[in-house]
Amino acid sequence: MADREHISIVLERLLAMPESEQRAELKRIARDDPQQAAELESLLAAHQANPDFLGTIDADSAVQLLDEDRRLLMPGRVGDYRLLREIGHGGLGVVYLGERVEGDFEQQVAIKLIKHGMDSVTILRRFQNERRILASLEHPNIARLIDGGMLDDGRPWFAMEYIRGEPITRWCNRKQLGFSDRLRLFEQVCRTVQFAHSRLIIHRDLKPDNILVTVTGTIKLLDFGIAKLIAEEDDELTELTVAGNRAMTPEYAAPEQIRGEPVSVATDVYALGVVLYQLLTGIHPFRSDTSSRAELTDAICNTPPPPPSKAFRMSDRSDLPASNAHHGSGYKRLKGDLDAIVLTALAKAPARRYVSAEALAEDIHRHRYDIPIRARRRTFAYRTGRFITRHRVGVLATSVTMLGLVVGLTAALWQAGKAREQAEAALQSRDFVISLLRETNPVRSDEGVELRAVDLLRHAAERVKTSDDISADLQARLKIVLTEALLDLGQPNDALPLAQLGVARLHDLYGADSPEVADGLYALARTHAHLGNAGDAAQAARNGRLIMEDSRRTGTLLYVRLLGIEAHALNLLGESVKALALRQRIVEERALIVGENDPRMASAHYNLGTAHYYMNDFAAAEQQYRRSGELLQKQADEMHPRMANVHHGIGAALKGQGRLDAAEASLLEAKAIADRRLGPTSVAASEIGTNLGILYRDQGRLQDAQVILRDATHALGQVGSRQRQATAQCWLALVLLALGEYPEALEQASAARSNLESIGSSTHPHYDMAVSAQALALARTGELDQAFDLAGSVFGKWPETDLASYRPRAEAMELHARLLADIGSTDAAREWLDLARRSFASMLGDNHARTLMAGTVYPDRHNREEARQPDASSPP
Amino acid sequence: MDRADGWRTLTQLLSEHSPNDREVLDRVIALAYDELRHLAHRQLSDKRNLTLDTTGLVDEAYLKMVDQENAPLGSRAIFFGAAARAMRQVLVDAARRRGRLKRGGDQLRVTLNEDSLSADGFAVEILELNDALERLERHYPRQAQVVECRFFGGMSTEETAQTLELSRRSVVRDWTMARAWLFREMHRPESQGDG
Repeated sequence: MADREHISIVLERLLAMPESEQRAELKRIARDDPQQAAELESLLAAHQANPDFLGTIDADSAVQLLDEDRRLLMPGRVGDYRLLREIGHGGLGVVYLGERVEGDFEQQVAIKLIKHGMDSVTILRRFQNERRILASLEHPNIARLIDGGMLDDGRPWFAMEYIRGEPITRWCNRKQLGFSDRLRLFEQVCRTVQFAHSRLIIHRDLKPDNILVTVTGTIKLLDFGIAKLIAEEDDELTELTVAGNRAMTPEYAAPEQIRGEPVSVATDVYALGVVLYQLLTGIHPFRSDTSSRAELTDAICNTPPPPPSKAFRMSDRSDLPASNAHHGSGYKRLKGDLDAIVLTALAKAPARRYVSAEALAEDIHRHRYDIPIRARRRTFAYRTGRFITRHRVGVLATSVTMLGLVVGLTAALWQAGKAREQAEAALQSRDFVISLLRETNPVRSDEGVELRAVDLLRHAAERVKTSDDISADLQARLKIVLTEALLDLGQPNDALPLAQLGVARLHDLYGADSPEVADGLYALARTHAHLGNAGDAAQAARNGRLIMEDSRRTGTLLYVRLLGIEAHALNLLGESVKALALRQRIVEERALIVGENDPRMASAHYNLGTAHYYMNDFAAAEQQYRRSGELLQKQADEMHPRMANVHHGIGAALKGQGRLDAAEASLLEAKAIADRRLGPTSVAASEIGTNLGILYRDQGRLQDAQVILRDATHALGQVGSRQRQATAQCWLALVLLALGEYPEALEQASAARSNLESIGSSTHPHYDMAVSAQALALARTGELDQAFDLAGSVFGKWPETDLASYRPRAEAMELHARLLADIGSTDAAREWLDLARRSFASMLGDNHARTLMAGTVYPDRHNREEARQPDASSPP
Repeated sequence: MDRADGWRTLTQLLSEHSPNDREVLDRVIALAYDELRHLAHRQLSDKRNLTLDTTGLVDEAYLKMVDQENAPLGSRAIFFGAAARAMRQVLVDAARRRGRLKRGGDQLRVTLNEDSLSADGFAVEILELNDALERLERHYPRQAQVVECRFFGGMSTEETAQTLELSRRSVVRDWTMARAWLFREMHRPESQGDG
């Protein structure tokens, strides 16, 4: 109301006048507005009565009031405890000294009463969950959490062991301790923190106020786990809010805490780093007297701290004993090891810090005993990777792979008892995946989901390698999961470095014989297997298997899988007998786990089929493949990609039994499925193609064989599967030889050979075939000497018993026979041909097309025209 | 506090609403209240500290709670205004609790100047002042705010002017008037009704 505003102005005017004039003025006002005049009159009187009313607040009384109020607010009783007096307060609430109400002994406790406004229900629920674990954290250097509950007014409380002590920084300063003593104390702190970590409890709020030293010089750590109970649950990007623990001064907060990202062991390491920094230099790495909060949080996240040696020079040295206080010696002492240690602990990216509090303690220990520390040995090839920022999830690319990634990760944390870490890890991985999806921009392509998923995965692989913002353990596990995903999408080259790094990391984290490493070894073995590195695959799988056997974990799927990979690799290495034995074992073990009619038995039967196949027991192989198909079709449709494998297997087994028409039908069906569901250039399709090529050759359809084998060699080359490509190349070489295309045959044979050599598989069955083909090709292109040297090298190393084992070797024998014939050693040639024929007969039977063809496959040297004639359209 | 919409940061709150938004002010007060109480406690536990440096406390709270870089212009003013109110509430609450303990004690009317000695007396005065202030708010809200800032918030004329976005002269005027008004109110035989 307009006239009301007026009143203060009028009053002011009145007060500026002498008393006599005031009365006149009042009268004047009264004429128009008697009410206001009356008002003004009384106000004037009041003013005159006490012009200094409400001058300043009586601070002393106010202080007293509040002081006593504090005592009033102290509940008399909390749970089973009687409160005696207030002993302190922090951001979360007040701390009282209490004692047990009934009890023979006087146990004094510190009761922490959480303030109003926190979400008591959640806090208490968490407390119930965590209580057992937290209460079990029994350690001479940790103040034990004894009890907890809720007051009537809804405030939660916790009772803890009461510790009388001083914050470590203050204690060290007061006692004027030198560097050595400080380090010794600090090492103890680290080991204590490690103990808690080993119980899966992260402190989250380490600071000198929580690291006390008692009168006896004993370290006592307070508030373990409390921060987590109090922590807010929210997904949004938040600053340090008032209500949460994070609201308090961020001096000891790690960058990830400031950004509201999940914490990990490395977060505690960071806080320890800050404390160490202060212990050594007397100042805070980032805070100065003038810095505002925003400046501080910015510095924590983005500014590298000055190395302690440098900071030492800048600080006030009155807290250190004279010997250390001297600038020169302090600087010298800090420079080098201690600088490195502190800076490692303070790394912005969690993954670049010490992997554990123990690792930090270890390096300090090493420094104290003049052993080279680890921190300096690391080469910080520092790539400024972007930190993960938490985003709102908009529209997620619903790539099944990505979902699988997260699920796979959770599954990867299979170790029992890791429930808490699992939640944290899942959160980290979810954020990681989310950030990944945000950052990659999938090309809009018509090639379907797979292309996008591959790009995403490749990107993910890169990120995981360079990502500084996820914990070491998680990183290692993510690598494993990504490896498997990449393999599933047929990208073994990308998967390999990832798998290797993953295993190495797990090895570092958990030790060489830990089951976690077995997990990683499985992924590594698979990767090697995909790449055709049979020897490496076998070894990795075997190591994994032994770990599982040693730790008595044989009843698990992982164990069965490890057996599987080992068997597969052994097959590739030609150790068929061992492989078969393993495969049989797998079927047994798996049946024990899932039951023999479970669809999941399909792959076990399939692989057993393959093992039989490599032993040339084609009938048994066919039986197993068919059983596999039966089981598979219980849960999959006809066109399921794995049916391609099944048909492939059946086809190959039929081929081995000489039932070529039926074999062709099966193989064609397999190829159709593979082409459609996996792509015509996929490994599966190419492998089937290779087998078809061999079949066509057996049927005498050389042109068909040539075409299909060319496609296969090309596709396999693209994918980088050298071993398989070599196989296809060998067979192509043979076909080309049969067609009289010698230069190209030479090319293919040489390529096959160098492929196999490059992966160290010179014991591979196809190797001899490749060399023999190469030899014959050389002979036919006029390089007889070379041809002979080569040929000799092959047969020199065959033990007698192996002669009949493998088709490729039988082929090699025939090639050799032809070579001998070329140079006119007809007797020797006939011998070798005989050997070859007998080999084929023993493997395939006397009436098998291949056996019958022996000796007529390759044209006579002088009859090239013969070879160019049209193929026989039907098999003999 | 309504937790359903989550804790939004103070800075966000401040930037989303105009300075006079009642709701915002209430939230700020709620947030500041706890913070101030803690600060006050902390100050008081240090036995050497016998004064209640309210401006200092509020300043510290402000630095703690608001991200200065992202805070919009005028945040400090809003915050200080709310903090002053919070300070008032802190004292009133404490006084009430004390009053409940000493039910039926003497209701002394003493001047609220530095001569006042006992916490008891002080508590009573604070409660009476609070009642009077509430009445003042109904008629002259702006002047009441000035009282809050100057008396409870311990702010200078200058600071009050900034906080309430008034001219220095207005503050002086309002302060003079409000004090007179309150004095009159508190020394009436029956303290109620409009002036």
